[in-house]
Amino acid sequence: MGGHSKSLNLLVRESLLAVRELATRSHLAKAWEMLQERDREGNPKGPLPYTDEALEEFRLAHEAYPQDLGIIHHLAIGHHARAWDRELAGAPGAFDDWKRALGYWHMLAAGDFWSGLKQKLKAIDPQADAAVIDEARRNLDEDLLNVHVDFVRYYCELGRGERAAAHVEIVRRATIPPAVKMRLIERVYAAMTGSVAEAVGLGAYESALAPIEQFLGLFPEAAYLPALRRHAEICKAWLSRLSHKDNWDEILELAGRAEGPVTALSEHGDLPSQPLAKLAVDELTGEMARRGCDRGRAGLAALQAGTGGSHERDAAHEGFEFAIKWAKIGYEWGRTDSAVRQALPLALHDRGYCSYIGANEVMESDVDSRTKYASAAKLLGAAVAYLEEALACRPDDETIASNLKTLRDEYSRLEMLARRASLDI
Amino acid sequence: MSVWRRGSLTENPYVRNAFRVARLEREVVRRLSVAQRIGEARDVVERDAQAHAIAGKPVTQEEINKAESILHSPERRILEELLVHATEAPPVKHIHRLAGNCAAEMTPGQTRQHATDLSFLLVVVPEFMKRYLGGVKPAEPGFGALELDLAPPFGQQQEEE
Repeated sequence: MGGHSKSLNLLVRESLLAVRELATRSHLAKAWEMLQERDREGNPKGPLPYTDEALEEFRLAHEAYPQDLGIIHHLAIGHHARAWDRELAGAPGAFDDWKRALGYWHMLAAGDFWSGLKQKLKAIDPQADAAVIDEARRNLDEDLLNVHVDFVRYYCELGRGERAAAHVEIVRRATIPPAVKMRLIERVYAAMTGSVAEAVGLGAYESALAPIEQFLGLFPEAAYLPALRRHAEICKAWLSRLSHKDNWDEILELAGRAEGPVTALSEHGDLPSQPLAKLAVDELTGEMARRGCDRGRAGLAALQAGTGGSHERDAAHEGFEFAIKWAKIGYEWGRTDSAVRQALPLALHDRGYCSYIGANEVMESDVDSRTKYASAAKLLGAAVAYLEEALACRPDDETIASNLKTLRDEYSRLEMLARRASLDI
Repeated sequence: MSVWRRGSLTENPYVRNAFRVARLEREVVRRLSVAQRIGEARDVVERDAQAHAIAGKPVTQEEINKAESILHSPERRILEELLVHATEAPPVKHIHRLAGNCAAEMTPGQTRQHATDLSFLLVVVPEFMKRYLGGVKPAEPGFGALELDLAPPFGQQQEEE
């Protein structure tokens, strides 16, 4: 009786589990029914990749058996297929489905889903090469994310930046190895900037820079060197068509756009091993500095000729300061004879000379001695600092050395006069 | 090229996969059966170009040819399965086996696992479901189904008696 009771117990236990499984599997069977596309008579024609109702049943089954890879595969297919349809229809919810689908596929990539495929492959053909399955598993995340790279290209071609940005966001946030992410970033860059070469050829620099800036805005943390380099090259090409005399405001606007990327490029860790990128920094910063020097010298010439006023003085100061700032960005990477290397000491020297002229003007003014000496000494002090920096750039330059000596002497004299004037009071 | 990017980006790769085009279930593996089913699909399209449609769009012979090349290549076919749902059905086989065992226990002299009369399940299964299913904790996937504790009176408590 005891043995009979025990085997009955076992049977009941098994039955209970079978009923539980039946209940769960009934979600799957129900989902399968809901996937069927049917003809007019209601006969099944074959399964659709998803229906909303079937996805709900798969979800319920997944809740009961969260580790069941077969159920996860159903969900991966269903959500991915629905995401694709919603994407193409421009329907809401596409991104939610993309994210869910990628999550389920990621679970499959990590799980033992693939050994089942290998067994089946061997059942189909014992000679078949199972390495294809290992490769598919290894590349799964990248292959799936490549879909989004292609959508980026697709939307960029249609001029729908907001849709492209949404797919970039999916790639950007993907939890994948850095090397894979970099490969995808490269493809996104290529996808987004397909029209740049043509725009540059047509001289449409605004159109050429826009997609690169969009890309850089989407991947700020990547500091993708080819994008930074291309940006610098296009800015330089654009700048070469602008003159300080007629287009100064445009130059300032362009400088505003170029400064961030070229600074990032000049500080990029890979720059030392990238000669073309170094050249791009050198040329853009040199060209900017040259424009600044040109503007500064035009103002300075007017001041020296006695035809300039405050506008010319401001222009001279602004031009030289602009030149100094840009020359400093690229100085480290400039070739020995390059514009940027020549521009920095010249701009510093001439900016110092502006201060010297300012000091002379103060000395000739009618203000009281104490104010006069103090102001002039301050301006000369600044001039000395500029020339010291200029001499540090070009230690063998005799003109700078000689002018510096003169300024230092003048500064000492003025300092003494200022001190005396102060004591007199 | 991955299975997701074989075709145009504007075509959902899951909809017209090779299995659906060839009217083949994922579970059919024998080459002969596969060839036969492809042939049947081809015949259908040949007889009536509108007869085999997926999502309202008729399947063409060209599509069937493409599907055939995929399905006859074991490596390509297995990757195509990534796009296709496995067929789902209630686990009736298991229930059949259990029913056989139950019947054998209840009918002395009958061999286990060979019972064919399942009518008693109509009573047993709903009763199980009604009485116990609601009270049983969800399965713990970390341990697997066999590690589940049964609710009394058929669980631990009764075994101790």
